[in-house]
Amino acid sequence: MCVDDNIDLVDALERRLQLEPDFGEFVRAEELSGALDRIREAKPTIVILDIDLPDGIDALALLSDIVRDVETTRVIIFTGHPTGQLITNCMAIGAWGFVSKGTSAERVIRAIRAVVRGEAAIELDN
Amino acid sequence: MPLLDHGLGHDLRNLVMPVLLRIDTLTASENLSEKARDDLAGIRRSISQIQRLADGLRLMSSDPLALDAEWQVTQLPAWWADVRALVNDTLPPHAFVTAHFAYDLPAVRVPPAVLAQAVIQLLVDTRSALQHVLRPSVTLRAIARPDALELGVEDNRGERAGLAQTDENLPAASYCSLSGAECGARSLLRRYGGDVLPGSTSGALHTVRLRLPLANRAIPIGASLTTTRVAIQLADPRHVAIARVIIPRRGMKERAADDPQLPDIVICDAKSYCDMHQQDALLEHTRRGARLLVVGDPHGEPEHAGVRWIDPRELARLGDFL
Repeated sequence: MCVDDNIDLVDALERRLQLEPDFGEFVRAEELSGALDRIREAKPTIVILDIDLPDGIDALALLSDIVRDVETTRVIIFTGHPTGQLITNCMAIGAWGFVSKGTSAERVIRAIRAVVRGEAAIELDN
Repeated sequence: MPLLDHGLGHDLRNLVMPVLLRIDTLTASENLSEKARDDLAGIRRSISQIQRLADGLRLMSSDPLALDAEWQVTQLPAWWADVRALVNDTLPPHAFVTAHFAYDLPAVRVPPAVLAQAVIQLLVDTRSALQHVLRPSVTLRAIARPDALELGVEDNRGERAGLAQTDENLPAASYCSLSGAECGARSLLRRYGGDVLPGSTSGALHTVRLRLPLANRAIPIGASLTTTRVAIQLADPRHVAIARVIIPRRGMKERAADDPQLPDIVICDAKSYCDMHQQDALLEHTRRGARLLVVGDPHGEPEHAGVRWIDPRELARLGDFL
């Protein structure tokens, strides 16, 4: 599942991830404001969460809620502006991965696979 | 300007990534003609250039006084790939620009954004100095010194004056989001232990050198970049991932489990260090001359020579302890 207000990015990511034979269903949230409920309901293995969400949605609070409510889901943070302190803060809250929007699809997929294996993943810019 | 740079950089990244993902998806189609594949490859190259431009804009829009320097040491060849388009745009269109950065240069302890802003400031000045030069050329070259790299910015301005503003700590408000703060090239570099050295002239060539401190001061220039081996013995996969990002950025190498060479640095958890049996084995490393970094709270553990503690919340600053 990808929680991002950029629908073009979510659509493109869905299409790209569908090419991976071992990846299952791509879950979508119709509204960002309902993302947490959708995650509680669908319990996706991985949530890719944009750190800069609109409409006053606090992505760090959402991360904290996912970690608290859905133990089986692992969150990878998606951002255009990665910094060391942000990565450390997100991981302290419970994120498993951190992926820059300046990286390639291969590295996004590598991060997803690593997190599924139980490793944490940080993929910064190319 | 900084807000515009920032917004453009952010928006470009959000536009570029879906396009690259769609190109990936299309390229995977089996029934695609050779011509269509060539077209897709061309589109990917063009989009990749836009991505580079977005990366450059991000560097220029970062607040140079609020950077997380630990994660942002600079590898000059990769940095050049990000800023090349901006450098070209800063100079006259017919300027001939070359850069000489060996792939194995050690990382420098100046964030890429700071270095980009300092160099672009110099080049804005260079641009005006080159206005009347028939064949303007600018060369960037890294020069190895015992404790630093020097980045030489050379141009063929002839007898024309130039770069004087840089020596006066050019405020460069257009690239700084903090009005009133000193954001000139020299001020910026000094914040990170570097400097702008006095310019020199030889014939028509004028050179300004930027002194850039090494990210890993323990490794002298000329030595192998991977002589310092770091053993990671951390249980938390998140801590492992953070350490794996920082170690190579400091010009060090993660020690493989089967490496016959002993580690120079061992990073372990408080839990394993506080375990009596494991502590003895860990301290054995320090008796052999290695340093031990323990991630966690010391909780009154006695101090040992060669052992330092790191608060997990400060793990982004791990490089300061390496």
